[in-house]
Amino acid sequence: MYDADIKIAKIEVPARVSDYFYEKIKKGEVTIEEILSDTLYLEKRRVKDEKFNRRVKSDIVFLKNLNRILNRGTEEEKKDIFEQLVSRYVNEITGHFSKPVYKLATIVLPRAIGLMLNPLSIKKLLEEFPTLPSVESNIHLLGELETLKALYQKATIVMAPTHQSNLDSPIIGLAIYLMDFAPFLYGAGLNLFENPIFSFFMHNLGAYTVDRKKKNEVYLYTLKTYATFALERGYNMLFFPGGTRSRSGAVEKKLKRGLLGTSLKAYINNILMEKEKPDIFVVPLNMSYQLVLEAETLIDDFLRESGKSRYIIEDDESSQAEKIALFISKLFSLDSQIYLRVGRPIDVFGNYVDENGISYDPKGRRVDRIDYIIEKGEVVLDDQRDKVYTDELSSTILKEFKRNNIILTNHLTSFAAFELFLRYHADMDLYKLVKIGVTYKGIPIKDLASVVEKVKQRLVELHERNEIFLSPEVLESNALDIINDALRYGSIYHKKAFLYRVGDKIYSDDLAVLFYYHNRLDGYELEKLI
Amino acid sequence: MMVKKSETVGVIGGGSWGTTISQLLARNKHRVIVWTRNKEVIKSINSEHINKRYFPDYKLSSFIKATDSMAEVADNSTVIFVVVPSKVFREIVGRLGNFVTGEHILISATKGVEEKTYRTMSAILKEETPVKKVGVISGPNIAEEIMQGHPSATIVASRFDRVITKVKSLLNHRLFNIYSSYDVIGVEIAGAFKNVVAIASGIAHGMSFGVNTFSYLMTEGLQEMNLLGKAMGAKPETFITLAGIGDLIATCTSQYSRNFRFGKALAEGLRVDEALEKINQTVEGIYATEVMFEYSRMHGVALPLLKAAHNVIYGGVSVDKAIERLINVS
Repeated sequence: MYDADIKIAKIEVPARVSDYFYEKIKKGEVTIEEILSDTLYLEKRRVKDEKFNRRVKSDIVFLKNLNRILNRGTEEEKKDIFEQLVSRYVNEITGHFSKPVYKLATIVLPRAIGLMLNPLSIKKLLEEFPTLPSVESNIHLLGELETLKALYQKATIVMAPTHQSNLDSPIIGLAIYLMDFAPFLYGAGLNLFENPIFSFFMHNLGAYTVDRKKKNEVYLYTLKTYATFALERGYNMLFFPGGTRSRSGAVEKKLKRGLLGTSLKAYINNILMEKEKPDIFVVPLNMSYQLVLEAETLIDDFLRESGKSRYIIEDDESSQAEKIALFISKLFSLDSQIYLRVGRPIDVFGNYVDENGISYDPKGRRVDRIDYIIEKGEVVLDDQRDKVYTDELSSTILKEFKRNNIILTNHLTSFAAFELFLRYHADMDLYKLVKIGVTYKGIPIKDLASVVEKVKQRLVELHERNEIFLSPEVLESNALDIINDALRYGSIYHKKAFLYRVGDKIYSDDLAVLFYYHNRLDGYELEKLI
Repeated sequence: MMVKKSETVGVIGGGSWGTTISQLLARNKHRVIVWTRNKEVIKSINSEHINKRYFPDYKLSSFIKATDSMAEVADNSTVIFVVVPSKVFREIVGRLGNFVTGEHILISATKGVEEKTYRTMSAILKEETPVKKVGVISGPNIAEEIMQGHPSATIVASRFDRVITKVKSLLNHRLFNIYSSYDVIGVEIAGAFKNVVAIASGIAHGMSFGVNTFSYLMTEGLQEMNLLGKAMGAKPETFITLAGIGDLIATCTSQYSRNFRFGKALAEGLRVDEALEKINQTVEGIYATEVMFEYSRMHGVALPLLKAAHNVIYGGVSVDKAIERLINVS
């Protein structure tokens, strides 16, 4: 966000948040004491689990003061501390970019890592190494690009990608650059800002901070208000609508309503403020990699007993510089292709939109968007109604995610291999099998090829009907070539080889990771074919 | 008591239930525009205030006007009730879609699920029009009894508070109470499934079975709709409301019910086509049986009563044989 807008945000956002809570207090829905004590309780719990640093120290001091005022303060003091709380949150969300961290990242990081990371660092790549082979040839942008480019000129864009890895955001950053767009505003986890490597990229993305450990209503509402404000000011934004990286490896089947809902709210506010360019469109984006940096940690989390999984993972592969460097060098040494596929743009009510910004109903009739928010002749905000509209938007995004899911050789091969291993060990259920992890019984490559071929045939049908997307490597190769291409990835990066060949048989030493890559094809009823 | 503001409301469908809803709306002093294809019905409503075809003996309110123009309905009303048989629901709603906008509210008063596509009526409203604010009404609502002024109640289900509030304000009356629910799918499953149970009850009646059999069929039916609903994301409590048990009791005990009469005709030895000919009106339960059966297969739920009904209607199994099998599995 530009400095001038940050200045306005620091006044406007706290004012809106206070208005919202004061209105609730006025209506008798809640008291200021309840708001403060709920916040205090959740914040104390959060702080207890945090690693101690300057930020946490300042939080502790503030919470002590909050506790004192809550117990002995006057009504005025309570209001005052509430407003201070909101301002602290706004400062944290907007005041994102730490110059010292950035400096540290560029100086301290070993030069080798810096070089390896270069393919993803736009400026360096283009300014300092104009002769380097360009990663552009490894990154493929597909789908509704032209529609997106046309809409970019007319409206505010919310990019809504699938989420597999912490590397998604730098790659999208690069994609946005390649499309000749200015950086999109992006809500990055607070923990990432303390990681020198990621902090380095965040700058390119124009990031603001999101602390997913803060669960209290005041913080969440402040965050949503900030996003709404930014959209109203015309900032294009990047939301991962799934809220977190896919744990199972499958494409998102459920989305979070919170941040997505800000696009509708901002649209309505724009109409009410009679903005010249009030429209906000959501653009789904699918991404696919042959290998995922954090696959082991993510699938491990997925396989934990339900309820014990962690929503936030901070100590995974993406927090280790060497691991990232290794991952990137391996991936690029194999000339691995990264595909991004832009879905059909959607309006904030879940209707598809064409390149002229016109919305259509499911039967292809032109729709006047404003009709959805008119009640008794007037445009109005209505939280309950707007939540249902946001659910409509979610379900259209999910439809696009499924339709634009990009299948690479590793996904297809892992799918076929895992399903066969499952049948080889019919005496065990899935979780037991994955827990054991190793299979001593190999799949004859012939059998694997025949299953790959069968599944591929069905996938080609789906691809032709636009119900899935097959990469050229899958579409144009025969089953054996698909398997051979996938095998290149099977033992190159993850701790244990999840797919390898000995003689004429295929084995796995990590069925959990194999399961993870298999899951990219979950939800298409392909299991029936085997 | 708050004075209700009069407004113009649309009704698509001039059959018995469409006419009854129009009369309920008009009773609350709302102007009603009913769309129907039937010229005779239009003429009799507009000139004599009766629906010659369905209710020749009931005087309708002068607030009710009939038309064959959907545009007229859409232009003059924000809320439109769609009350046409499930078999033609998509076609008619598809036409209505040319005239309505995102500002409209569409309420399905049709029970049942579409044949072949297995879509619910509320899903069709969303697929065929630009409208998002949709809802359904369902409950023990036998048109004849309501027209006679018997006290009754119904349930409106929608995900939108505004839709619920609106329908309540339009239809609420001292003799007609409106309950509400967010569980649209639950209400729709209940409304379709009870038709299957009604056919079974009709069969039991035709076989001169006693109260024990009726209680057994209704309890089994309620359990089965609950199991199926649960598998499809419905809330279990929906089945113990008017939309579930309420409607089940009405349809399974009323002699007026077409599904019941159809079942009775089967028990008397008529074939499916002969029984249909005898009723000479749409029997929603026939399609509902197929669709519910398909749902149960898709969701892997075993439902013996539903299977028995399906065997009789689609499998050529005799009524006696189906009953015998049902008793032995459940």
